[in-house]
Amino acid sequence: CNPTVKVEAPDKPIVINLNVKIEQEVRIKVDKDVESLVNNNPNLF
Amino acid sequence: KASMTAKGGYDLGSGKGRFDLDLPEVTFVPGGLQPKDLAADLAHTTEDIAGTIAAKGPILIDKNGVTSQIALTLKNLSGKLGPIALRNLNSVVEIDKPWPLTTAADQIVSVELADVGLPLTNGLVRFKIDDGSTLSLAESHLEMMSGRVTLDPVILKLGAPAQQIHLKVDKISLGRLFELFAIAGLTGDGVLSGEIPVTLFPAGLAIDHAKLEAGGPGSLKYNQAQAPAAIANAGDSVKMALSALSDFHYDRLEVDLDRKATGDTELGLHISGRNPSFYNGYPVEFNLTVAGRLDEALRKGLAGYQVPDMIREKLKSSNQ
Amino acid sequence: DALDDARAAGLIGERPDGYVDAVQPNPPGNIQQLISEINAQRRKVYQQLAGEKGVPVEEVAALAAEKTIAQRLKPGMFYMNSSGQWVQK
Repeated sequence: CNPTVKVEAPDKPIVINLNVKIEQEVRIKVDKDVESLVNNNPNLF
Repeated sequence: KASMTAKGGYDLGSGKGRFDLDLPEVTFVPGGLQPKDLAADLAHTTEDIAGTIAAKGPILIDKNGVTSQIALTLKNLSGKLGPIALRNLNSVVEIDKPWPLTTAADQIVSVELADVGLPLTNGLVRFKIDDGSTLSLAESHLEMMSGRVTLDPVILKLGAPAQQIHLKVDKISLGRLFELFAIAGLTGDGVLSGEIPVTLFPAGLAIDHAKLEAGGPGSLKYNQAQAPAAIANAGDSVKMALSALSDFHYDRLEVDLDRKATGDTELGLHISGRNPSFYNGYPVEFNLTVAGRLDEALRKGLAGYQVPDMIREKLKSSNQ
Repeated sequence: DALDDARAAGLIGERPDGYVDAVQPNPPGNIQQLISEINAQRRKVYQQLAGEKGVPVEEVAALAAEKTIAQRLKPGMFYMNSSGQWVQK
């Protein structure tokens, strides 16, 4: 995640951005299998 | 096995006929008997169906064609209908024409859960089916995260490449939303309302920029001790960012939600307000985005349900 | 091959749920035939992979759509976005 914290001029609010990515190993594995499925069957995909 | 009897006759002279149909209870089992075994054109629209059906009533033939007064009983049906996963659907459907399938107007179905990327529960949906291909839904009411959901009237063409349904959401609980999306450690009071457009594809669905807003001020609490590993051992700036959330009093809160057909969901939380013990209450704007297969969290822990009385009466009366 | 020719001609497009569909309503017979054949074969391979990996078939199919749109479609070919509109790559 890459949070950025900026303290701005007094009248402006403090802006805090926070991005959280929830990875799942199951998805990473399936992703590769689907990629090969698509690229190994050119007449189907 | 499913066996159906039809007793009656057809008078060649007058061209009139009547057959009394009786299909005693048939039970569907995933991997066993399925609706597509009874009606071929249900092959691609239903999947892994469980539950029982029964049908009773006359089929009438005259010179204008074939009509019927059949009561089709659907009892605790669960499974996939197109892209939507359903649990415990109950109805007694009056069928005016068997082929192509046409129902009487204003039929009602109750459903314990309809998963449209978000869990809609305790739904009562009014519908009519015409010519086996058009499903008209009247304004219908369901629940979600202890709030009310209204489905705008829509006409769905079965098998169309894509169609959109609009859910108007009223006062869903912010706390339940966090719980549902398993954002461990984040709790909040306050209710959200807004619009959720859902795009239905024949074999998938997407949530297309849903926008919800808090009706008024409220508070958020983030307990870092319960933070998921991804956050707990992140850098100091993350910890400092989250300390702002430890006791946050918001005056404005907006939630954006997008779900792709893959199930990848992105939840955006945009809040402005302050935390008395963070820079002694200096105004803060906080943008938190949580992305990933959040719909996994949806599959677990959804409340039970009773069949509404009105449907139960009909179920009883039609089974005599 | 037949699929790429039909896609290049703007007759067939990729849906986000992993299947192909006619970009224009009531397509010619041969296109309708190609669509049913392609979708039937895809349904089979999706179910097989989903079964092996123990993930929902919808996820495999939708991931295939993402990969196909990103890696197989050439500029100008059609795919459908999350709002259900046909757009050109």
